[in-house]
Amino acid sequence: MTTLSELKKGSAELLLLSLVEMRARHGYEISKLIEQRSAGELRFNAASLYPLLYRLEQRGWIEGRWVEKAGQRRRRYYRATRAGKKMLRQQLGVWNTFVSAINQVLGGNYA
Amino acid sequence: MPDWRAEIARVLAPLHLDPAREAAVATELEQHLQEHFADLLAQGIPEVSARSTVISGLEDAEFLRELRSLPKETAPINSTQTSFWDELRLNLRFALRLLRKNPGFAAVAILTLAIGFGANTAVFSLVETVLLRPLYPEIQRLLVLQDVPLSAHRQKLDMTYKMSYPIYLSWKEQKDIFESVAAMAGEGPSLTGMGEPERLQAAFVSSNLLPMLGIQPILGRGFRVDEEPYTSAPVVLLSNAFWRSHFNSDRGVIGRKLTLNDQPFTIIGVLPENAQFSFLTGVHLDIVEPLRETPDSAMLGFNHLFVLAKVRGDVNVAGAIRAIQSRVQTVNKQFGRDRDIQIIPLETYLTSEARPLVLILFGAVAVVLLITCANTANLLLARGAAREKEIAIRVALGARRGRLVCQLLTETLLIALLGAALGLLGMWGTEALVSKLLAQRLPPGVTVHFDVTVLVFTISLAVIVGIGFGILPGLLSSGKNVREKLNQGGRLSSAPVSHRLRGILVAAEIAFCLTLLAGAGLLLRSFVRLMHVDRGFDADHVLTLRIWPSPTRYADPNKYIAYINEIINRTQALPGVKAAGWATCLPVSGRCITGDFEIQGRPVDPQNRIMGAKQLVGGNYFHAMRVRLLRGRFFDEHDKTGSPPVTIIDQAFARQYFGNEDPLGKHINFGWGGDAWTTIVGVAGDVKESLALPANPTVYAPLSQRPEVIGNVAFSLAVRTAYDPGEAASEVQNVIHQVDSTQIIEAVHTMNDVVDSSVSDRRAPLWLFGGFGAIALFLAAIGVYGVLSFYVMQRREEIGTRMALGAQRADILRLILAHAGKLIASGVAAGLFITLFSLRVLNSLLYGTKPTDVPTLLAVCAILASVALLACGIPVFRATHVEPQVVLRSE
Repeated sequence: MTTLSELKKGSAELLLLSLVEMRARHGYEISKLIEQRSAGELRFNAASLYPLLYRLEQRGWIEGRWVEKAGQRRRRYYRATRAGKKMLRQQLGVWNTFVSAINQVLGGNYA
Repeated sequence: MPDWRAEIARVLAPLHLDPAREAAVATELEQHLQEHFADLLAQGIPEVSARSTVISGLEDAEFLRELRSLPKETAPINSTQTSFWDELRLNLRFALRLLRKNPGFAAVAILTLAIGFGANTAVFSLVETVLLRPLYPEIQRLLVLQDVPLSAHRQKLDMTYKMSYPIYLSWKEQKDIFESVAAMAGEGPSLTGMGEPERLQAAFVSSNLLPMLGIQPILGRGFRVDEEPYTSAPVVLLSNAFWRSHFNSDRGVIGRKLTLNDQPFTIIGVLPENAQFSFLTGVHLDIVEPLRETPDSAMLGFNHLFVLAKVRGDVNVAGAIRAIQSRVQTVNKQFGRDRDIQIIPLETYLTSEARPLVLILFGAVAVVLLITCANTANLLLARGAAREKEIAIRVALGARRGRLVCQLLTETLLIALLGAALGLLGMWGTEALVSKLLAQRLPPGVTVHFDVTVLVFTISLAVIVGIGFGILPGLLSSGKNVREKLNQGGRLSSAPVSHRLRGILVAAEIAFCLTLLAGAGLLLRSFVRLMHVDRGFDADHVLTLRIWPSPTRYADPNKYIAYINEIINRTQALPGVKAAGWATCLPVSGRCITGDFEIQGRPVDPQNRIMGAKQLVGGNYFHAMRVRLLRGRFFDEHDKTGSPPVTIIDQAFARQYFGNEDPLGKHINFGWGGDAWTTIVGVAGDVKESLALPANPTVYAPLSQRPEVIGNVAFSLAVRTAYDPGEAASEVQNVIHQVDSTQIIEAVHTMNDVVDSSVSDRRAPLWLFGGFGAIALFLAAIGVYGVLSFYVMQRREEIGTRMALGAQRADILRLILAHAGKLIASGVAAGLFITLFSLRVLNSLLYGTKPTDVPTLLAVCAILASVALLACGIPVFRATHVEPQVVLRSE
């Protein structure tokens, strides 16, 4: 039986990539955004977030840089690379197809 | 402010990251935690709860599980500064930790490899001993020359042919072919004057034999040519063992005297410890005497010499052999006879018995090693699958694939080397056993022992196995698809490649196991058939022993005959003795002397010689051995010295040379010091000289009618008792000593023991194949168990789902057994295929059994299939007792 956590795991990459597509963000910012936008349904704590980030970085879909802003300590900011953006668009397409297909099937009974 | 750094350090410590990397990760995490903490405080949550919430965010159960499942030390990631030795040390420590954490896996892997390596080491050292170690200098130029009848070449190579003295001298003259020609004879003189009278094992050699074999005395000197004649002053050389046991390694032994056959011999030297030339005696040698041919022993036709020739250095061996063959006619003309020569290179002569067996063993043991490697590979693959997650994480955290593969290779090499070490240790302890098992077939005096070559071989083997079977699982576990695996959740991956490979490996194990078991089965069947063959005599309740009456004391043949007749009479007078008799050679002892015969009225045909074994018998030999009488009569008291010469032939001789004619009353020339025609008075049943071979045509003559030769041979006494023959031993020996207290008696055995030892060289292959087969069966069972366990484990959700959907235990059982059945069946089929092709090599070891013997093969298949199915027991039980709810819930 698939639970929320299963679905969460499957879509984690998609989420992360989407959040850093337009802007560079640092780790905590990303986790807070996810929690806020999902109204608390999805939570990524430090232990699940960072391995994911490092993995994406290794694949070359995001790149991380240490940035020093005035008056602040160095932080690591992540942003999607061109390959990452391409991957994001692909995964979005797949996701949309998947969701609409499910909805259509369910639509007969649960519309 | 809580110390986040400390918490983070605690969590990251087990990873042992490169310091720079660890600092970077720690910095990021610290910032994350700080901000999270600040936010919680801003929401009004008390500091304590805020802190624990933040910390718990670091302690995601699954992430930490993965972290914790990593062994405490990780190879440093992303660091380029470690030297080769540091890496190696780290890899080793890591590998050792791994083994300690998984004792079950380590034990099974190391043990199975130990068995495989151990067996291989044992056989390799055997191969090395028998086939690779050169026994004598320039052994390729040493040829054994045998004087054979013209018809001999049509038969199988017979090692027992010898040469008589005049022919030997004649070949010695061929100086253009040979650098030297030496001769040797065996037998045993009796030693007196040093405590208990003893029968010694002596070799009589020409003066050039020892130098030809590169043997130099360590004390004193060798023989001179002038010491060879019978008339010269008697001298003797001591073997090293004899010198130690009888003279306490006294270096002053040269010049002392030894009394042999009542004659004093002067000791002129002591041989070195490793001197091996007991071709004839086969066992240890006590003393060496010069050739000392007497006029009797030097007669033409008395073939008792083993002749060894060394080809000249400037002649190539093949050319020499051709030259010898063309020289035969010259030698023949010299003596007015028509014989041929058989040339056997010494190497072949010494190893021919052992070579086929050793090679077969090597094959068998290689198969065992293959099976152990397959098992180990399976274990490693399974292990690799279980560690996929861990490896994937390490890859994600920055480990290079190359490093990981190195790591895995180190682990498997470690297992392989430990297995090899254990195997070697095991074999060290069993050297003696292995030597003993194969003693009959080894070249005389050679023992199996392990030395540097063997060690090198084993270690190389271990390295090859370690790398070969470590690389595959290593590559599979760290491949490109690793990253996908991380997203698959907690399930172990069912990588199809790995799974199919394991299935193939197990099927292969089963196939090889079948081959070994079939070999063992065929050997067993063969052995049983052999023991039930019709021997021609009754071995129960018969005691045997051998004496060689002193030629000096009984130089007068009449005295000799009276002596042994007296022994017979007294023996037969003992209570419980049914019959007693003498013979020159006992059944199944292979000591019979063969020679030519002539049948009166038939022209001598050089192409078709009449050949047979010549036996001198006395007393009631035929009754004692319960040899059948087919026609005519046995010898009786009328057949004695001076009365008309008579002989008895056996059925084989009658069939071969008389066909449908009635042989009784015909005349035959027995040879052996008397050209008078003898009359055939009886036809006896065939008596086997060797259980596995058809009976040799034999002609018997009463010993009292052959006084000329009796001094040159030993006689065996056969005594049939009403009770246990072993108990009669001391009584019979007493009787002999009553007649002559100085008579040396040897080889006191029951006839059943003699029969047993005649087939003892068949037992060794049987035990070895049986042993290997059992080991292979055990390993194959483990292999099947392992693969099936894994299969069941992988299918747990599927099984759970099926059961939840209504499947019964029986259905699950069928599912699992179908898979197992496929594996076993393909293994058995492949095994039969291999067996039918490869077991032909066993032909030389089988008797009355074909390698394609169907009942044996069927039986073996049945055994193997049953054991394999048994091995499925536990996995099947687990599969059918899966709790659907537990399985599904855990997802």
